[in-house]
Amino acid sequence: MSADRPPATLLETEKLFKSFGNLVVTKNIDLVVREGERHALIGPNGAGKTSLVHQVAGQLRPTSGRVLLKGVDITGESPEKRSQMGIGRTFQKNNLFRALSVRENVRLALQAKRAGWYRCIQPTSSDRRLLDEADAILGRVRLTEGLDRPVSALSYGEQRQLEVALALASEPAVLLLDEPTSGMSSAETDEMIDLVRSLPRSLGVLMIEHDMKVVFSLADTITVLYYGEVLASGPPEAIRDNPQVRNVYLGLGQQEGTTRARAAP
Amino acid sequence: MTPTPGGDAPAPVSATGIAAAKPVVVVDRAAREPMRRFAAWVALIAGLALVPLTGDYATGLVSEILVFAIFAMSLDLLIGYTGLLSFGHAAFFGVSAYTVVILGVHLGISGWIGLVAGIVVSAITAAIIGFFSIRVTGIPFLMLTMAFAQLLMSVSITWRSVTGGTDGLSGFKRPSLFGMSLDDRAVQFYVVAAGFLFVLWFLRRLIASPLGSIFIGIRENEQRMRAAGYPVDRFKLIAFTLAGSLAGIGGALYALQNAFVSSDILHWALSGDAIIMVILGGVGTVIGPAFGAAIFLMLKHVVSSHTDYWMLAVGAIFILCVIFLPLGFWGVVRSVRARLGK
Amino acid sequence: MEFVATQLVNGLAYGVLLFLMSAGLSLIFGLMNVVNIAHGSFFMIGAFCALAIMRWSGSFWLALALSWIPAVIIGIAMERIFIRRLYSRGHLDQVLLTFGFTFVFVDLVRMIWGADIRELAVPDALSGVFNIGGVIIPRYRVFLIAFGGLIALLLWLFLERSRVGAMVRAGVDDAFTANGIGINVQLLFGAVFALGVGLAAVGGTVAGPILGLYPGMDIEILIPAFIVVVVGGMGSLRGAFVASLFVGLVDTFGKAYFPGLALFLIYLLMVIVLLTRPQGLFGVGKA
Repeated sequence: MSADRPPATLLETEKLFKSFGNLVVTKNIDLVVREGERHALIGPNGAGKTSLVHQVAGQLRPTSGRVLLKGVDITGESPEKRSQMGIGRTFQKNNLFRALSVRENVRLALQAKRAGWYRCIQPTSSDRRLLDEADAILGRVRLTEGLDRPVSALSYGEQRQLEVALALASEPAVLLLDEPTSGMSSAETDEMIDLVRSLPRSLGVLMIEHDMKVVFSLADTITVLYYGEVLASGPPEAIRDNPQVRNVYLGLGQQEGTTRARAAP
Repeated sequence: MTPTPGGDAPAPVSATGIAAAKPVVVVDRAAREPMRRFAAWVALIAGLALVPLTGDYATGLVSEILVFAIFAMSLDLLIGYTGLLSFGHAAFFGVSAYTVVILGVHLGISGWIGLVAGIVVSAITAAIIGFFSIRVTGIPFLMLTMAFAQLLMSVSITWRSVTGGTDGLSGFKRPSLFGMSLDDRAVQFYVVAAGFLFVLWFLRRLIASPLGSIFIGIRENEQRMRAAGYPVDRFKLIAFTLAGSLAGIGGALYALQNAFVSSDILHWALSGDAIIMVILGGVGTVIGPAFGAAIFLMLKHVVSSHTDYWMLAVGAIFILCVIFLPLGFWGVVRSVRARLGK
Repeated sequence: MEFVATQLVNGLAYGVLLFLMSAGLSLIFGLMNVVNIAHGSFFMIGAFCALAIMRWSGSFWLALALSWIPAVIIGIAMERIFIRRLYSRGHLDQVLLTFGFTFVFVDLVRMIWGADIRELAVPDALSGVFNIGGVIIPRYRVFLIAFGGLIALLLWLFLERSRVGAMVRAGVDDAFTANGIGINVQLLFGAVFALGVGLAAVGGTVAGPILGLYPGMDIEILIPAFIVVVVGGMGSLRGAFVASLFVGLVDTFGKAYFPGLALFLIYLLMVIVLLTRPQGLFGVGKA
């Protein structure tokens, strides 16, 4: 990507600190996501990754610190406001409209970004353009068949894909993916990698991942969290060679046996 | 069992919501086939048109059912569609009825103007109560809505000079329609039926519309709706106000029908009756609560002609319904039709 | 001065009745997450059973000693057979279920005793008045206040000092974990429900001489009891105690000084508390 100007900073956190009583969850985290950047957030369980994403997306209020989106301070804003301003996210556990159809899930999310919320007489089925857009987004996440089925009829992997579709439907400037490949088979994981690769370059992506294959295939930048603090942050090679990181992961790899946490060659 | 495409009025019952053993997405075949839908409307209108021919008692009963059907259907917008269990819905029904009767008795204002005024007053009341109640959810919401309704009832009891207190306010003169007085049972019935048909039509349209899909989304997964960018609290307030206004239509028609109102109309018991109608008839469906109103009132009338203890019968049936038939009468009909239609 | 003293006594006495109702309501919600809309029905059942026992035996004390038994039996049956099925569903379903039971109970009472207002006679030992420095105070109300204090003390001792009480407190705090460490939560649920409705029944019995007995008394006491539980905090016995005395006094003094406003006042109180501090003064914060 050869731009004449350096890529713009889309998302920035300043000393994000969150504690519940005596329990410190995130400690003074500074993080940057730029336009087009694929930024991976890794670390052992409980390191504070999801809490960080909650603070960025608005589900959690930081105890102190700031979150800036395109230079604007959004720390006090509600999740819905932040979504309107350009943040889209997936959740670690599938957070879908389970009783509604696949297509309706995406259409609803898409409708949030369109005018016409208050229309109460014309049926949603008459807005063919919106339905086609929903189908298009579903196509991008490789969901093309059985879009009338309720979500509960989808496989787990397909539901994960739908999660991403809902996040994309928000037309975000910054996309937050919380363990997008968790619970997926190897083939499904490869599909998710392709999907993230195919995302537009105007988007900034922050993704929490445990699968190192995914991380090293996709990431331009990796930030390692450990006990709520940033242990290291930088390009993949620097992280791979970082002795502290190796310590943390080597130690953990032996104890937990997370077999997929192997560094790519 | 396939859901309808594109968000066309499926009205599923949420697993996290009221009275649902598991989520069921049900086909609304009538909604997909315009001819069938049209035929159903024609049958309904024709059926209602014929009711006054069956005599005064039946006409009065059906009229009462239709008024409470409006009340129950409006409550279902909150319970079954937005996921808010309110124990104070009688407030909006009652406030509207009082407006009509008070304006008529104290100021001699025509019932038609009173009708409009009643709906406006119930809308405003719903907006105010809703504004405060939306701040909490679950059990506190239940209690807060109940408290506000009781507050209004205590006002109506104490303010005897205006409201007639527990004795009520009588002496209301019904208006006329095209020269025909509403004192005529048949004319009265047609006015009520017209109101019912309008509310039914509006709710069906609403549920299938973008606004309706937002209410359903809130019931299904509020957190997801926020993450998608919807100002959820605003829509809860809109749902609350709409539901209150529709209840206001019912209340105004009640006033025209009975030409009398007393503080009983604001009692918590009426809110409870409405909840029973919704659950019995089918929570999360548009017309279900209308059936619920019919079942409830017919049970009441039939049982009380044999014995005084109709509440026992209704209570027992309701308990069984909550445990074994959470979908309610119409919900069961729809799911049977869906299974057969496959 | 005399007027204030009378209102004070009346307010405290009413507060005791509210406490007997709300203690059970609060514990049941705190432990089981069940809002027992039928709680007032047990108040009513207790009162009418006391009436029956008094009719048959002529003794108020016997009535007081036994009237809670039918209520507890019905309560255990209700919990076992009906409420238990709904634990896996949302607690709003339980609200609906218990609400349905109010219909059943009120008609059962009407069937057996009729719809007229009955009286429960005050026993001779408690009738009459005390004359304290010129102030006339009915003996029965003093008894009520003392009785309420005794029950509150016994409850407190039970919860704080007994093993079963500790289990209840653990369950209220975190039923899932309590189950995990071996506490038989199912049995506990049944026991607490029985205790709660038993207290309500006792409340109905001692309320009899003051409030009178009639089929609508279940709702009349239920709403103020809800207000107490909201103000005091769901799941907190201390909250129920403080709030019931508070609400009892507010209601009584309100009715005495601002008769027009009285009904209004306690609902307003509930609205304010729900909006500013939904978990109540001492709430467990589960609602």
